[in-house]
Amino acid sequence: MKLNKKNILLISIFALMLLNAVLFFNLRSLDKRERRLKTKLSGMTKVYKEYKEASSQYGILKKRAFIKETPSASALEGLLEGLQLRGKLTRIKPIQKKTVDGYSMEDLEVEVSGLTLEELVRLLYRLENGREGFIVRSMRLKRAFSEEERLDSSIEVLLLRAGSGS
Amino acid sequence: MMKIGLVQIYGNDITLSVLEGRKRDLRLVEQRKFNGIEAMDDGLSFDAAVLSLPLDILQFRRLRLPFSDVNKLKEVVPYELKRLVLDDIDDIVFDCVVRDADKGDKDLLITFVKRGWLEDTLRALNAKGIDPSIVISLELSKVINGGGFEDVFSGNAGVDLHELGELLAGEMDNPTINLRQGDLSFTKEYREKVRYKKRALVLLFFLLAVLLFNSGERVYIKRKVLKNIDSRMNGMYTELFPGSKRVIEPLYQTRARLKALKGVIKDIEGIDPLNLISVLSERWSPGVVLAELNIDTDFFVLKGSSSQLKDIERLVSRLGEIFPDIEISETDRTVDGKLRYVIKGTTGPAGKAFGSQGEKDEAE
Repeated sequence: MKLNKKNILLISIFALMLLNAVLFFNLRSLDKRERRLKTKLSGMTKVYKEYKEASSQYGILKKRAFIKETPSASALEGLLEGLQLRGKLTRIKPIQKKTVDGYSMEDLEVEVSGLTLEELVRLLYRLENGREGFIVRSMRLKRAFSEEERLDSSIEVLLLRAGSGS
Repeated sequence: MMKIGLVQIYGNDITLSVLEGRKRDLRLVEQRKFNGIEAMDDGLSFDAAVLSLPLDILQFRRLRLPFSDVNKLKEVVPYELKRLVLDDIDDIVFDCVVRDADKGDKDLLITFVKRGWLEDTLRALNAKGIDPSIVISLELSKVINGGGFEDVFSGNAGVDLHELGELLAGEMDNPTINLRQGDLSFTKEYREKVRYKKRALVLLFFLLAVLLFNSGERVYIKRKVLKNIDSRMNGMYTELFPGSKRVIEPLYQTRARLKALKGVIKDIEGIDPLNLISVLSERWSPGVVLAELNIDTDFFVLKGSSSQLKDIERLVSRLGEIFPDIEISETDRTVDGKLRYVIKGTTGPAGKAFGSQGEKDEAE
């Protein structure tokens, strides 16, 4: 084929058509990728907010572990002693102990029986707000079998502290 | 409406007639005479131009050939003509008129003119903007249509002005002879077609180039947008986890970390029994006795008895203002006629108003 002006023009047109076709398919694939990425971005924004909220919540919870005294089962006994409820303590039962994210966690079940409503309120208040840093995980409350005005309680508490554990 | 320019040559005199009208109905609107082609005006423009030669410029030969096939005749004519003319056959331009003769033969009138003269004439007319599409002879047409081939040799036959339009229309439709043949063919239309094609190709080239530029720009912008989205996601990830170096799929990596964090939170999240007891005491319904209360991370269970169902329902309704997800899950009658109940409520998302220990601390 002779390389005259007409043929050069035809070859250029063919090359342009080819390039346009390549770019067209490239654009289509980029469009698809954009749609996918936008979906991901909206998912990421949502997860980002959720993580921030969870992180803030976690930060608040972790503060409870920053206590000067080392929490332990004996601290729980001491707390009851301070409330003059040592005599009503039926048992302290360790449930599980584990370390998560550098924090030592010890679950204990405390059974206290024959409490008056006032004693129960004082006990819960100290558990929630005392400087020992207990976290109440669950509670079972029943009217005492012998005396209906009194209450038997079973409380699961978590002892959380920074470090390798007690 | 067509505008036809008819150029007639009589020695050195040139007559330019302008005819207008439809294809078969042409009227003479103007006629001008010039002394030689050079004297003609420049830049003349017509829809079509015709050159008509007088009989005295043309040369004629007659032939009788025993063929009836016109195509075969045309093949034979150049060889026959060689014998009849003094000039080289390549130095003349010819056309022939064929008529039936007796015994199935064909009678031919060969008309020719010197090639060099015709080329010079056409070139000179071209210079004035006239490019005749056919080279005919109106006189020849008039003579042949009026009688036989013999009259051609008898002298010049003039064409009157009133018959000019009709004669020209007939010749343009079906010329008696056309000496614009072979390498002298009228190529203006072809050249224009080629020019249009070339222009169309150039236009297509530019169109494709513009399209390419546009697509290229769009690809560039799109890539930038994608990069921006990527960097935004990576930015969010590194903001949450500043120490992280391997960021491959920020969304899935963040989701995994969120799941792990939620697991840890669930492990250390507590309940707020005092607050719940306070809410229960504020909204308790008279007549309902509470025997047992279980509080867990996400829910609570009330068990007790009452003499009337409506008291239990009132209690559930009042507690429902704080805990929308609350219901009486069980009721049954005891031997002493009382109604035992089990009420279950959720302190999860609905319990937000109720507040967890963590939220309380945050408020403080």
